Amino acid sequence: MLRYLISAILLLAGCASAPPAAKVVPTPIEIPLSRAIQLQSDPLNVSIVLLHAVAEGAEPVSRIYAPIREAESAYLPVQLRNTLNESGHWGAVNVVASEDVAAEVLVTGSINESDAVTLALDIEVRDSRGHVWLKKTYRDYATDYGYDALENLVDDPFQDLFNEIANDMAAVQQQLLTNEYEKILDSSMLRYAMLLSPEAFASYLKIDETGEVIMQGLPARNDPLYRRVRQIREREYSMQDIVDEHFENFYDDMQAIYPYWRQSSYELLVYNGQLEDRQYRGPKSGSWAAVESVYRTYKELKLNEDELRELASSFEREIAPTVTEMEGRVIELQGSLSTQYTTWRKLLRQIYSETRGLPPA
Amino acid sequence: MTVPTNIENTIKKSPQSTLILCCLLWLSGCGSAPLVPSTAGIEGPAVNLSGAWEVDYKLTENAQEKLLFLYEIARSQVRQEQRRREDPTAVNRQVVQQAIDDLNGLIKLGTLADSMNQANVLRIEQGDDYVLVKRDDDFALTCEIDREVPTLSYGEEWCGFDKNGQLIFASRLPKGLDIVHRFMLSDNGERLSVATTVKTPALSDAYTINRVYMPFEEGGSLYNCEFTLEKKKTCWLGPAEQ
Repeated sequence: MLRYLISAILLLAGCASAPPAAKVVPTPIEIPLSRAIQLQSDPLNVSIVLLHAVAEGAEPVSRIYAPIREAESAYLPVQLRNTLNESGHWGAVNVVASEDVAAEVLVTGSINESDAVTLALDIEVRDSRGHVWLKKTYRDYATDYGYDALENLVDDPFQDLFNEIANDMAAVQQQLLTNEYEKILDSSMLRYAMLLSPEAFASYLKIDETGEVIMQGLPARNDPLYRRVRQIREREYSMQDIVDEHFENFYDDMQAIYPYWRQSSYELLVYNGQLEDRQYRGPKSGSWAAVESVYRTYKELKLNEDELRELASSFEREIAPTVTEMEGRVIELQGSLSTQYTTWRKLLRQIYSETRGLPPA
Repeated sequence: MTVPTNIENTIKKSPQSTLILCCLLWLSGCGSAPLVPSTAGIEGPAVNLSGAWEVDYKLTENAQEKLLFLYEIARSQVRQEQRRREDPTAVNRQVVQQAIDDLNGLIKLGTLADSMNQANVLRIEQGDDYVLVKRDDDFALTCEIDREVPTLSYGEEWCGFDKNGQLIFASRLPKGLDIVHRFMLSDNGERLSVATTVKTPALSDAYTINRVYMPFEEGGSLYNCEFTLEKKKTCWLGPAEQ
């Protein structure tokens, strides 16, 4: 009788749950990174712009998770940069805060989907001529194996995605003819010169409505103004290195939290799929140790989320002013990296104008 | 104060302990309402909960005492039954074993629920479309209010205000672990009750633990912490730095 009464009480109190729908993902294909056998004498430089946190048309990220997605938008480009560097196909590879039209090769993109199981990035790669090398959505799926490797931080669970982008970029570069390669370098320099002094260099190239650059000539190699542009660009590179270092430091800080947050998320997302059969055999099938373990994982995930939120907000808040020297002047740049970069470009334009005795643009 | 988690050796065969166990289950907070809210009729007006809240020990139930109470009553009842019983049948033994398992599970559930609702201080930030509940020594509860109410599957969460103005955080985790935090503001706004209810398929019952908070002004002599990329987490005694 006791059992029936208790059962009745439990029935009144209980709420039956429908079996969950497990997330089914395709088996990911391993993509090895294509490495350069022989270093190119003067390889192209690559600028990777911070990713847009949400791809156009993608599901918006909730306000609560937005800081984490923002952090990812700075973290993932550094991961791509590291992969490109490791491939050996490229010259300097930098992460930049905003789009740089003068970049020899520019990578832009947005995060289409990012959870611990799936990563999808919309990536566009184009060169300084405006030629689009790649425009596609790269997608990869994590496996248990990927997260096992995480124990020793050997590899990222989504490394295949970055390898695929790097391989595609290398394939396009390898198909470039010598004259195309030179055009990329010339277009890059001219576009940079146009940023400094449109009035002096606009006649050398036109940009059509599709963004393609049509070169109409080149300044003489010994043109003093053009030489001056080259000198200033060298300074630009040093600024790019400073900005890149900020992102590198941020990446290192995130390494202490982000992989573990993703691992906890992964466990929660796929755990049920693996265990649902056992779970629904009967109300007594779940051990307390397993239930407690689920909560520990969940708590760890949430604590990591808190830390990621702090980290993301600290990153922008704590960007220190950059103090640098430029032609005998000490320059202090304040604000976000993007603001610092814009100010820097203005200063360069000003210096260039002063050289020519023109009023600042 | 430690509550034994395995009472199998203490509670023997006690077919007549039904009513007592019924009472215990009722005391533990089990109810017939679904734990994780369903889509219908859940979205209600937002109530402003923002501010700093500290636990009001006078009104907050002691989880350990509550569990001990459950345990002591069950044990004394079983002893009475042991004295009265003569020769129990196999059916009775099975029934009693079931009751022991249920009570055992309930105590474990209660211990788990207690571990989920232990914050002494809450700092609640609330905007038009979000609520962030920072809890000392625990993770923050975060809510984007205008999100649609989904049918929760495992590994999913939902939060929002119900029609009574209670803020609800519901999580449905693997292994059928359901957790619901309900934030209820008193009519005069002077007390905030947080009821945490936990349920697992191992026991068809839910367990609820309540904590009551009162508002406080954060003063100058408090212990403050800040996270920075440069120094990581640093804490100090004194006013929060601007």
